[in-house]
Parts: sequence; C-alpha cells; structure tokens
Amino acid sequence: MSATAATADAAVAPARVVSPWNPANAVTASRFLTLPPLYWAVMHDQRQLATLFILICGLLDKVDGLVAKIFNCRSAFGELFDAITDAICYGFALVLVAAHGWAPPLAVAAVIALGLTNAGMRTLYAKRLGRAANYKSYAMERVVAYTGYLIGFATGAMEVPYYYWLFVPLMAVVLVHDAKRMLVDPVPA
Amino acid sequence: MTELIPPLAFKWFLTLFTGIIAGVWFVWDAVKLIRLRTANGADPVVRDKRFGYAVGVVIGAIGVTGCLLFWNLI
Repeated sequence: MSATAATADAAVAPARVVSPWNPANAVTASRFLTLPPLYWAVMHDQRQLATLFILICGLLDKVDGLVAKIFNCRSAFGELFDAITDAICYGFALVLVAAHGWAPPLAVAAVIALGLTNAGMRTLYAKRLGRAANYKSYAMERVVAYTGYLIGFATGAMEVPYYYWLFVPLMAVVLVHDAKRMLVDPVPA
Repeated sequence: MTELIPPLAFKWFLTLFTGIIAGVWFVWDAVKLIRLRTANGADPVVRDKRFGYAVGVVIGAIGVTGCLLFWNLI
C-alpha cells in the first residue's frame, strides 16, 4: 500500500469485524436527540438553551470517538456513520439558525453547497474504492469542527458575520485541496 | 425569554469557551506544523498533514480574533 493510500484509508481499516450495534455508534446516534430541543429553543428565542443543545451535540461527537477506543469497536461503518451524522446535525442546525434570522442566509447557503459538494466527492471516492469508506482529511476534520462552532456563534450572537464569512473561503480552499486527492490520485487497492 | 445565566456571564462563557479552545487549537497545530518542518515534503501524507495543521492554525487565529472583536478590543 502506498503512503497516499495509507493516509486516505488509515481510519477505515478495521482489524476485525465489528457489529454496527456497538456503544460508539449508539453515542453517535444519540446526537440526533439534541435536534428536537434545539429546534424548540431556536423557535422560542431561547439563545442560551439553543447554545447548550448544540454544545451537547458537539461534545457527543467527541465522546463517540472515545467510546470507540475504550470498547475497541472502531469500524469503517462507524467512521462513515459519524461523518453522516455530522452532516445531518450541523446541516439541520445551520438551516435552522439561518431560517430564524440568526445567521446570514447567503453564507449558510454557501456552506451547505460546499458541504454537499464534499459529500458528493466522498461518494465518488467510495465508488472508486469499491466499498464504504470515509476519506481521511486533516484539513476537513478541522473545518467540520469549525462548522459546529458556527452554530454556537449564531445561537450566542457572537460576531456572526465575521465567523461565517471567513469560514466560506476557508472551506472552499480545503475542498479544492481534497478534490484532487479524492478524484484524481490513485485509490488504495 | 428564559435565561439560564445572566447575559454578561453568558457573554463571558462564550468568550472563554471559544478563546481557550481557539488558542489551544492555534498552539497545538502550530507545534505539530513546526515538528513536520524536517519531514520529507515529497511524501503525500506529510503534505496532507502540513496543509491540515496550517488550516488549524488559521482557524485558531480566526477564533481568537473573533473573541477580541466580540469585546470591541480590536
């Protein structure tokens, strides 16, 4: 396996077969439970509560990785499920705060469009690979973490235009960087 | 509107939460980036890490700067 292949696939090579019904995936799935109360809080102008719920959602994202290590249940499916959960939770929350007027709709639309492009490229990468896999990108990991904060900045009314409009070009640059590696460079055997 | 904590405490919470994490993020990725300066730049893994850590440094700087803007310090 080449060095490129090792990086791209480092996080998705399970040493053994792991059931998808494991504690780490349960924690990941539990993140969806924060969305209804988040919706309620935003709709009722409860900024502090909304911040609390998005904080819990973000913390659970960190906890699932820890649980996977403790219970030794890391898997390709778990990595993919985590990425999909990130996209759904953060995507929903971004649309919610934009629709409620807490975030600039144009910036949110740009972020969603870039996120969908990223998801599309990852799907193409998985097709090239011939199996379900989550592409490992150091830069995109950081950008996704920033996305979680974007929602918190909106619920907390903290320098919203500044954080949102700086995020868009940053994500675009990372996307262009990852596009070459996902769509052009050789995939692992 | 129900408030869990007073508005000023909430503002401080947001500032400290963001500022501390962004500051640590900046230093953490800067150190990792510096440690890679002698690594082989022809290796795609190294290049990917360098780019990722550089993005982390930028995000950290954006976070800290935003905290200062939040209090009209810059």
